[in-house]
Amino acid sequence: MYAQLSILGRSFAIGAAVLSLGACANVDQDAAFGGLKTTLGDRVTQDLAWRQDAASDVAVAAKVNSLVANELGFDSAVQVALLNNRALQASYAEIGIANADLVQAGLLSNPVLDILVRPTTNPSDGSILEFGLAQNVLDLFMRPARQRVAKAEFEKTQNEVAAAVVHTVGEVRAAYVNAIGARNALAVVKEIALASEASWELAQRFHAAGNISDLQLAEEQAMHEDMLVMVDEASLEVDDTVENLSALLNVSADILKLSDRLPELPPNDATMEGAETTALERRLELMAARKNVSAHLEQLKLTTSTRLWQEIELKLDAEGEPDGQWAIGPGLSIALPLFDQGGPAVARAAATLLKADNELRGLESQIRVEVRKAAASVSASRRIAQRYRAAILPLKQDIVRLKQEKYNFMLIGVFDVLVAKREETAAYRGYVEAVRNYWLARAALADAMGGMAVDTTAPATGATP
Amino acid sequence: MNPSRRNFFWSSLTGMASGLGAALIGRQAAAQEPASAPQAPPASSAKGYVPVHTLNGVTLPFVMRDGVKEFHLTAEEIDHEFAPGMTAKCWGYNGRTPGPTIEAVEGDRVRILVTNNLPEHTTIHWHGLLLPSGMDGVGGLSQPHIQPGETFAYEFTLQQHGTHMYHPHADEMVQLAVGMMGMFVIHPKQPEAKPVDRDFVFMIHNWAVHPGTYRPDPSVMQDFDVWTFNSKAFPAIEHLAARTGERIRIRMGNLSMWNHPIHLHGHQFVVTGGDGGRWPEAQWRSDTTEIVGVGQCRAIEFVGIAGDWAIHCHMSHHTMNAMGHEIPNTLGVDQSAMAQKISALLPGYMAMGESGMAEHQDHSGHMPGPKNTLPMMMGRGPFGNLEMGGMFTVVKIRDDQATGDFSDPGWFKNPKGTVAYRVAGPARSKPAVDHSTMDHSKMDHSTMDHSKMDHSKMDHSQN
Ligand SMILES: [Cu+2]
Repeated sequence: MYAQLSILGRSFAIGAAVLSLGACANVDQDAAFGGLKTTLGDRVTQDLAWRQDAASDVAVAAKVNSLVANELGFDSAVQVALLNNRALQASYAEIGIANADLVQAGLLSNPVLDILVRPTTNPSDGSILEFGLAQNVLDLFMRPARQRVAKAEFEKTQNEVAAAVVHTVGEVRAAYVNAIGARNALAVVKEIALASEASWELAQRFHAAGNISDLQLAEEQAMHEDMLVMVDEASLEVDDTVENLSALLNVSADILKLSDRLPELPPNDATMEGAETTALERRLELMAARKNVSAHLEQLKLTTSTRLWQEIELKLDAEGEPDGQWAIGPGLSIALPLFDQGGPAVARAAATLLKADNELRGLESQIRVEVRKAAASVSASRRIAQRYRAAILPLKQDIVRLKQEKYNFMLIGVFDVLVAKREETAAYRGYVEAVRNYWLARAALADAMGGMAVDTTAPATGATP
Repeated sequence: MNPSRRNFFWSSLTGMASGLGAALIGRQAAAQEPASAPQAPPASSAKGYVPVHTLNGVTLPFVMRDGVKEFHLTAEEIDHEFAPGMTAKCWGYNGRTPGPTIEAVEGDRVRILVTNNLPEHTTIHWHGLLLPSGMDGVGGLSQPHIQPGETFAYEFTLQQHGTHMYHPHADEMVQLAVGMMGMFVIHPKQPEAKPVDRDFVFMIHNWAVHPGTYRPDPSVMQDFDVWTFNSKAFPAIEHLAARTGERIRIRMGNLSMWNHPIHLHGHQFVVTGGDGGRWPEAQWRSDTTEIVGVGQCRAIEFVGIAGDWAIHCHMSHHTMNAMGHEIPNTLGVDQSAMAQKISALLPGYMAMGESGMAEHQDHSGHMPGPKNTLPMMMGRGPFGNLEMGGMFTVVKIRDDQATGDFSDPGWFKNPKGTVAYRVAGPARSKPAVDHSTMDHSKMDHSTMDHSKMDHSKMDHSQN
């Protein structure tokens, strides 16, 4: 009897210890979100906010409102998105999910209590009571390994969410550049239409004086109508791109205040030497992929170590006879690896690890390509923009001036000069497009490099004439 | 012939050099003509003829060698000025286009040395002259081509008198288009029964020096940019000065691509000759306009009447400098309301031509035009703008112009009561041209200064 009691006592001691292991399991989401900021490091300089309740919603809304009250800049657009973009908020929640999973992994499965009341053959003899307390001890031994898997999973998620933040910044930059670029192009196209309008009005005067034919008049009008279509198209492009930006900022397009001048090119671009290596060090989805490999490696270890003994249960059974006698004794239940020796589970875990590893390597080469393409695009669009600025625009201006000189000497008519003016302005449109492409390439490069500041401090004496 | 030898030879002929050249000329002094204007007074006594005066040009000197008048022409590329503000790379002879006028007397034996300093072969055809077939100058037909660097001699006896021309007959279309031509005047052996006091000569030509360019374009057939008398365009064409009552002859040769009806104001001239010499008086005919056809020469004669008299081609586009032939017609088009709008697009823009094109002459002074381009209308006279260009100049006849003095006497002083006068007015203002939109201070005035185009101040001295 004493011995039985002592066994019972020890069993409860184990139970208490197990309970105490489980007792530290509160879930600190703020700390997990703070870890996201640490992960981002210098990749994003703006503030992040995870809006988990109504109070934080109100605070963030106030901040967003004050930001959009002014003309939106390159950086303030990013800031608004980081605070207000709902997809980002959804991905912040992913961190909460992973964090909960991590805490969950530290918990033991709960002990199982069986209670059985068994009547004796003679009902008057009363019943036999049986208690059984079972605890999966394999679970206890595997806890550290399981936590290692969960931690890797959590870190993977954190890196994935951080990568999503960086990509959202990239998308906002691109959307901002597209919107400003479209507004800039619209301003230029309106200038072109001014020239065709002047030409068309003049043509009507020439026609009224009897000096040009219906044919010439129709040609001038057709030209002007073509230009008006261009204005409508450019205007639609503005609506489209501003709506895209509005979607990312989660702010109505109606209240956005946007410039219609793209910033000029900065004097030079950073060297691309070692850029691929830097990108491989900084890209967060690459870190996530590495964590994914770690998680699958831990999972493989876990699966391998539990392949034979998938279930080991320690039990304490007590049986109370009708006469009040208790028989207490320990028990053990083990799944015998007769049919399933865990081979498929191990093979599955090994194959999954192989998959994760190849995804990691594939991502590395993809990132190298992204960096090279973005860098090539930055330098090509810079060359194109510079050719416009240094050669094409001055030449088109010269052509207008030289045609005007011919007009002054009655060698050509005013219509020819206005055509040259239209072509000069059309070249400005090409320039605006080139500058827009440059900034898009810069945003893509920053993104490919794992998040970088994009310097737009160059004077914004835009690309319009 | 190497350059130094050629230089020596040429300078000796022109009489510009000292030493051996001067000595050479000294021996032949009797046969020398002054090489530059003003030419010597008519020395009909010494020569038996009145020497011709080539507008803006010279007469080619010669040396007598064994009884032969020896001339020397050098074909070469030159920088030619059509008028101040416009020059071009042309081809010519002895540094000029047209080449110097060759002047000789019926019966003379002449030897004409031709040195080719052009980049391609050439020849000279003596247009209208009676000569041996092998001296006719048609490359490939009459003679081998004169290759670059070669000197050929043409030698023949002048069997006729009259007004003639010389020009290449090798790559003729190109070489004519870039200025290779000259006059060849043969005086009759017997003094003319009705002698002239002044004998002017010039060549009529057209040039495609497109606005902003510096070389004649031989591909053009009709729409030429520059119309010239002796390769000069108004207002750079020399005025024809003479004295009242003098018998004046004007000889004209046409190697252009158009026929030109040349009209003289204030006189009834008689057409007295062509390539075939001075016609018998019975064939002379009165006229005021004479068409000088392509490849033709014409001589007109008249007795000078005091005044300033225009002489010009009567194809009105030929008395314009560079102009557009396909510009929209602005006549009667009210653009006033448009000026502001277009100026916003084209700073410095000025609406022109509503009431006519005369305003252009004033605008061209302050509105910059293409480089190397003469404004369409130019020239100022005592009463205002002449609004002319191209084939236009003035015959200035004065009571006191000294014999043999070809210098510009200035504008005519009209006797009282002989100038058209206003009997009603005042003048209506023209449709408003909005000057307010343009800032004249920003215009480049340096390219065209009216004052420098003033006739009376023009320096006609030969270069
Ligand atoms: Cu003519």
